Amino acid sequence: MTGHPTADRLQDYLDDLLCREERAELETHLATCDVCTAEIVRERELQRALAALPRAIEPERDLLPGINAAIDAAVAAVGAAAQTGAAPVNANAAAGRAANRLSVRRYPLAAAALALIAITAVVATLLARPDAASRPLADTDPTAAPRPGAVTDAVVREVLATEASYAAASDELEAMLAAGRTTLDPATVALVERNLRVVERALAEAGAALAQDPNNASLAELLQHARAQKLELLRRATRPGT
Amino acid sequence: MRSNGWNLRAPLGQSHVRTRQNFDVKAGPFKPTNFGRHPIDVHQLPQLGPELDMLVERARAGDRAAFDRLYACCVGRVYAICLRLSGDRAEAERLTQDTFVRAWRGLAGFRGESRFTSWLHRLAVNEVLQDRRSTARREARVRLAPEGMLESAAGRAGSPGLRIDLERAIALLPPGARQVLVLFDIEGYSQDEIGRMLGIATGTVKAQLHRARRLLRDRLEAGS
Repeated sequence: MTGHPTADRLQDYLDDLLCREERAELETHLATCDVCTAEIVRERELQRALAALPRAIEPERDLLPGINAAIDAAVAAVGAAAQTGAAPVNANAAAGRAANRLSVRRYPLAAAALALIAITAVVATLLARPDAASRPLADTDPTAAPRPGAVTDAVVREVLATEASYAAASDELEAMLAAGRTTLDPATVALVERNLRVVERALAEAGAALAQDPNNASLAELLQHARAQKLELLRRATRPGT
Repeated sequence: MRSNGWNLRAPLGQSHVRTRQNFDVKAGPFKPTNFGRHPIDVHQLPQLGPELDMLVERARAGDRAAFDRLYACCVGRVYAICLRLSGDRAEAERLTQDTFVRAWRGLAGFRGESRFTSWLHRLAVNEVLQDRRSTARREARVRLAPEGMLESAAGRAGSPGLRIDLERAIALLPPGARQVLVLFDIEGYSQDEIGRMLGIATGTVKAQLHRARRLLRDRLEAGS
């Protein structure tokens, strides 16, 4: 090595970005150069000081109330939609209208995802209701007649209705995907279809769990997985160039 | 050893920085420590572990109480990321809130393939970096005086003047250089990862990092 290494070279050394030969060459230089050694020492001290900074800094005020308010507002908005124009029975139609507003020819996957997300969001919102999480659901078998005087578990019925709507929407998705198969990336089509199968299975299992599991835990878990798949589908479908 | 004028080693306990006096090439001088890459396990939360996993699962299932507990466990790290990257206390509070709201919405998509804390911290980083609309205001505030950040960052750490000086110097860095330095030297992301986050080449990340370190040293030495 002739002369001193550059500052960038020293930084790369500190960051362990040099290959073995480069490192050995630089270390040979450092062994005989006070200037560069001092530079290394100072840089390393700075890095150590940075590494010693506290990783956590508590905010000066509690931010949780604002966070919860924002979450509550979002849940309430979806819940209100579920109670009005996008009620579960009508969710498929509402989603279909929204999807139709998109150009199926230009954005088939985005339209498909929109139809799917509208329905799964309603399912998720219904499950997020406190009463849905805490109430036993054993007496909510949709095949059983409501007990006289008992309050019908509207939440469960809505969920099941939504699940039925989902099946219809899924058929629509398949049709759209089939129509766009020749123009879409086959890998993308395959991915979306695979994800749809997962969502279908998850929701079917959730329906079964509703009838059998009074604690609702299996249903919640399965639906969470379904939502995960939905998000993946949406991400893929809305990617530029899809 | 030549004096720096600002002794960063003092509060850090026993120094293991090699000097010319104990430098020995044959013994393997300056063994790379990956400092800056992952100086510590930045995702570690010592008091958690299984409890964290349980809280995450419960929160994924819609348990708001579990989510509140997750907030309590993780808000310090999230706020620190937002504060150092944004350089502004009020914005850091808003970004922290937005991060947790986004986390709640996205929990269903969290598959457990990475640590929850890694996922959450990445959400915070993205929240700051995507917060384009306040960039101009932020830069203006940082150029003036980031006192709000400094009081929060240094004061709450119970740190002496050194950390205050260092936090101040970081806050005064140009935004691009500051973001790269915080992400690399403090948060432990790789240069490639940072390049992808910021949409810049890895070479540019490196140049910004070196610039940030040089500016930090200059400022600390000038102030000592």
